[in-house]
Amino acid sequence: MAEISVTDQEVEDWQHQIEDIVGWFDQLQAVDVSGVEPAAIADGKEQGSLRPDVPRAYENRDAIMESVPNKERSYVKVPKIM
Amino acid sequence: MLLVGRGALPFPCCLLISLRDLGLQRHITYCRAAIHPLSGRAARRAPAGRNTTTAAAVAAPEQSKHQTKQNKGGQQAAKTAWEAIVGIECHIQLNTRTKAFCSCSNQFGGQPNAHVCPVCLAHPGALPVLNQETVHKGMLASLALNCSIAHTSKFDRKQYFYPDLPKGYQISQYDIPLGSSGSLELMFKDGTKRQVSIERAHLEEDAGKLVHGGSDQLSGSTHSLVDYNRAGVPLLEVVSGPDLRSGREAAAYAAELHRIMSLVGVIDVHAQDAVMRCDVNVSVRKKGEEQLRTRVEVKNMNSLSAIQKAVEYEMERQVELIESGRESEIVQETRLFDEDKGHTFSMRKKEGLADYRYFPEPDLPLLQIEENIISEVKDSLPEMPSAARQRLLQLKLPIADVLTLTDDMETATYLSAVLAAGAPPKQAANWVMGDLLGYCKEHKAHIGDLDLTPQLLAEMITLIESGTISGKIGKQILPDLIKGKVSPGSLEKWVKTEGLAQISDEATIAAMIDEVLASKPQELEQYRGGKTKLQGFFVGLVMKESQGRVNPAIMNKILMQRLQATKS
Repeated sequence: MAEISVTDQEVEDWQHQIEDIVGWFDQLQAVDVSGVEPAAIADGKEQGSLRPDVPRAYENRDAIMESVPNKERSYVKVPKIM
Repeated sequence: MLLVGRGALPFPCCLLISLRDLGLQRHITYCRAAIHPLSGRAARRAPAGRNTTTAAAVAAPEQSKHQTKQNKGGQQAAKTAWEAIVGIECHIQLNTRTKAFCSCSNQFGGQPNAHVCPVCLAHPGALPVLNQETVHKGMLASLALNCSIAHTSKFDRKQYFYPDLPKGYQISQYDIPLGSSGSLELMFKDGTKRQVSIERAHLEEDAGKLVHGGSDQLSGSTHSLVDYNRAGVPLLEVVSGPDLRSGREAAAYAAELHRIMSLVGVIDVHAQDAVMRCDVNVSVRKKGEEQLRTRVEVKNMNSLSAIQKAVEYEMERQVELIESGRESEIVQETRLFDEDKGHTFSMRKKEGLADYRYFPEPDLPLLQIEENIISEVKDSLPEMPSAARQRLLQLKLPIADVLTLTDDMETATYLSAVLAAGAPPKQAANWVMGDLLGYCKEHKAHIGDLDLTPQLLAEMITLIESGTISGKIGKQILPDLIKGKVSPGSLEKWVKTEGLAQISDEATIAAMIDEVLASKPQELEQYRGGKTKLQGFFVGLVMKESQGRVNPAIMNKILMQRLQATKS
């Protein structure tokens, strides 16, 4: 996972917020869902349309690559793996 | 359950199917990212400190007695008492024109990061839209493997953290795969068959490709470089049941899978890159035992023979540990195969399924497929290799020939057309296996691309069978036929115009023989004196005289009569 540093003040603030969120899940847990089928996906009834297999180059590719913070030739450069 | 947990990570430095083992000249080299055994994602998910054994393992591979040829008797004993339990996961790269979830080109080569867009680079707000051809090819492949197709399936997110995966998760299918409960049949040279169950076939996307910069050696890299052209390319992961019992069977399975995928046209058989990447799961048990022991996953096999060797090595390693009371040292882990050294070494301990935190992909709706679409795809399937083998065996062709002819299904299809055009099976098989495959090998051609159509070959075989031309003339004119000099339907007329028709008229042949004998009185004298080997000399002269056109049986008969007559 990513490394995250937090200040003591943030720890104090977020502790309450996280407790609230966990508490909200407790409320959800309390709902009686017996007889309700598990929903794999929120809008499970909807059938999405499929995309035709026709290649199209993204017109703004250069802008995307310009936004890459570190590059070497046309590769994206990242910290050494391992 | 184990299905997905068995390690569904796409693995750039795993397979590759080289068909050299099969004797086919066309082979797909692989090694997409594998500059070094650990340079691709072999090293993935092994942050510093978590997998400190890897580098050490490379530098100093585990000592093993298996590397020596000693103790052969012991190995033989072990082989008879134990069997391997092998299951294979294969990632098949589907040859669609675009990626699975965006319209970027699914094409290899070219500049790094040429085929990228906000979807495959996971820019905020960009949403995936499933490619219909990905579904179609996934269905073709699944149905060819006798799988049932889920009328409703869905996509899930498989989370892991690595720079080749822009989104931080791979879109895959977890609990409802596109295809399930299939099977595939293997046939061996001794005629035995094995049914291998296919547990599932699910769609997912590939990750990008990592290149380690700064040095060719991973250890010397100062940074890594990423090419996202492959990120989002559609894969079909095919998971077999634990039904294979040896390295030989494992290699045969991978070969058959590749054969079927080529046949239904879902992979690019001309690709320079690996189109199939296989991982094997191996455990061992004593023959007759029911219980399964701990299994180990092996990656990084570069060819069919490497799959076989990796399984055989792993089997010996595990048997030796068990027999020496060290079974606890067999742990669930991922090992890499080192082809040069012929052994496997530990890469990382296997992550648990929970590590992937699968959950349904909220950005994609359910995938619903109507029954009539499934039937349509099913009806479009060509004859599978197992059916072709069965059919050819029923024509009384020997098993070895049948395996050669169905090795590449393009050959089997060609032969079937020759047979359909009326040629007798044995003769047709011999011409196809001998002259045509020989020609293709020499000229690196595909049999289906030859100008010599199956109909024309059947015509030629029929002319030989009817005695219109000799087999020798057949071989002589074959290069012309391959070059397309004769159009189908006109061969008989052509051989007659060219003066190639066989001479079967006894009087004509007798006259030729008399002429030859008259021109060689000395040899005739010697033959008369008992040097009967000279018969071959006369046969050669008559053949030469007639430019190979005389009917050999009639010629021999008359020649013998003349020689005998002269003698008496």
